[in-house]
Amino acid sequence: MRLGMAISAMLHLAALAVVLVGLPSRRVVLDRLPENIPVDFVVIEDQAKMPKAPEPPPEPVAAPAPPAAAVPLPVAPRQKPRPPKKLPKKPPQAKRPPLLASVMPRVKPRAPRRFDTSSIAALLDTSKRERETAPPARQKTGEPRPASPVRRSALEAARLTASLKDAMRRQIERCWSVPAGAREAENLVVHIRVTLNPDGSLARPPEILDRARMNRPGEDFFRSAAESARRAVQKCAPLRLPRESYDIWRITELVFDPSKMLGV
Amino acid sequence: MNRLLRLARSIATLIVITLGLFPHSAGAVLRVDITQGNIDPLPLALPAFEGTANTQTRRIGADIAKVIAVDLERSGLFRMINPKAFIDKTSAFRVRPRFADWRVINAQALVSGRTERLRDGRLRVEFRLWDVFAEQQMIGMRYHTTPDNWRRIGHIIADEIYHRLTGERGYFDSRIVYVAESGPHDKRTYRLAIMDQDGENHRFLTDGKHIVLTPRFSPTRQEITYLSYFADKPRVYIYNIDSGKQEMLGDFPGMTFAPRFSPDGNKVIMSLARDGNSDIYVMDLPTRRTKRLTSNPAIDTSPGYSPDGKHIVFNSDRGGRQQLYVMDADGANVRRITFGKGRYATPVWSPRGDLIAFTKMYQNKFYIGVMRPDGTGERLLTDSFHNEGPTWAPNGRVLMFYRQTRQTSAKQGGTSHIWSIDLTGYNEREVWTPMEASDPAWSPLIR
Repeated sequence: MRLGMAISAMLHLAALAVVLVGLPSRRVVLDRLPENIPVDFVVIEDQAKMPKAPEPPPEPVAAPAPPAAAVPLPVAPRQKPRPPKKLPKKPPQAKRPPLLASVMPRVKPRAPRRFDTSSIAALLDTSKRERETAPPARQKTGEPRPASPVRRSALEAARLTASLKDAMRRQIERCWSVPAGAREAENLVVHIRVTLNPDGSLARPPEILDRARMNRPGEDFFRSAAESARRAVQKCAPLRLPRESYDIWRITELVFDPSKMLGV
Repeated sequence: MNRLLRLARSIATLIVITLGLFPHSAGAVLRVDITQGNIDPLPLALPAFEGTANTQTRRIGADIAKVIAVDLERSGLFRMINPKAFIDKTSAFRVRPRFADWRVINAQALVSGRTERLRDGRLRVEFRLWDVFAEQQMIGMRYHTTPDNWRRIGHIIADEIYHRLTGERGYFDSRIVYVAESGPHDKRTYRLAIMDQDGENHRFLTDGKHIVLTPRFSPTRQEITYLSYFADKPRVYIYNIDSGKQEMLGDFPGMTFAPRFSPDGNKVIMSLARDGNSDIYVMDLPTRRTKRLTSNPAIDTSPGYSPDGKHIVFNSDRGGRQQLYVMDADGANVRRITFGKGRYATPVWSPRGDLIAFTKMYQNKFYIGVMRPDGTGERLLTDSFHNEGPTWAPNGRVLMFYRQTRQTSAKQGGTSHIWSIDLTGYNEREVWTPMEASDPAWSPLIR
């Protein structure tokens, strides 16, 4: 018993040492140019100790809800952060209109076309939608369904799984902001395990399966990719999925692969 | 010994129990591949940095946030959410944000910051970047500096945010040197000018008495090498930004041009033209010794090093037409890398080492493009009547170049300005300069 306690004490001490040594007391002078005044910096990491923001006063709480609907930020206000008065030198888009992708800088004219074709394809492929809506429809008509998943025929199960995957994929893809800086996109595949409640909400935070890699030095790209994938899941929740097949989608592994998006 | 065994057994039991809690991890879990996503700019909330009682500090806080917003937005990868949409308008720096308020307005990340004037007169700036969905701090930093250095702090913070969210190093804390052009075309004044990457802190380095061309930054020192016509003799010079001193590099019998530093900053590689032939030479700066690297009757010019200093890319018309070649740093092992239609010029190796940018002339158009160092994978990013002289951002992700418009018969147009473009070919933007501009060169990060 004493041995166990000794081991435990040693481990605690080691953990404490890691915390003390590993946490920042970095203080670096950045610059040696005479004309550029030195800046020194410290990493701040005391977020755990931070007090929580006070609960919003009752009235504002009621108010925010309706505006939320109108939130999809209109195009016009986007110009705001670059106030034309104070920084008149910055109108980069002003002079040569034909070459500019002014509003959506990253999307060249041909990009929308790409999206169009895919959506047309989706429209044409009605089979997908039929499959998806199939299970609830049948239930409504009162056709008896086997209650137990065990009794589903193999073919039917496969079809159901395919339609569930499809439904999930289309929801998540809409929420995923692909990390744009990524290099070696083929090495940035992120696996995330999602555990859902029957109403499609998250039963627990999404788990990045290769967490260790995120914090390894030199894995900045992977970390960004993993976090963007996690945000996509959190942004999309609750997912809209047929409740009667909850046992199939309760735990799902999402595999985010940016390589097709980042052809650089 | 017995105790140790018992301990081991209890650990094993614990592991079994833990595994038992996650029965699905081994079994048939539904697996969904996500291969498509959104490439729109990432929505970011960036309220003005909180300032302490002092109004001046508060103004600096707002100005810093503005610098950060402009930097990030110009990268094309981020979109700043209009502050009018903010629900939490009082966000205090020292408390955890109310994340739900930021999720509602579709922010994926939130930047909060604070500026404070210390008793010793220095400025303290701190910021935190929050993942609004994971409700976690992604990074937090605190800086101390003199108050008039606030603009640089803004760029440094923008670099940190860019790095943390994209995985890629930033490039905002950097400068551009270029040739400022003024006056009529037959009596043009050319001055070396330097500015921050966002066009601020603009100043002239030379007075315009002599023509200057093709300035290039030293990767290690505050030095610029360039071509100047002094007493009608085109020669390579070095300019020290801090001392303002200019110095001619060697006194050669012919004309020297197209200089570039080696990655360690200790050598300058350039062309030397004599009797109608031009070859590539390298000068060791500490000893001023020169070495000839090519000796071919054709015109060899525009040399530039790979970031590891082992190879040199240059252009030559030895094959009949201007094409790109790569050789070892000692001049051995010359191989041609471009075989496409058209002519290629001004090659520049990316600081990442993975690509070479170039100007391509084909069917009366000028293109800026990139290819791998072996000449494969050519991609043309932009074209116009006249584009030339690409230069890489320190992170190898963005390029600047200059573009001249066609001059019409009515003497309209014919103006020259600097543009930037993302490596993907998206996000092409003009870079503002107070007068016409050509030959931009991007500095390394100031740090």
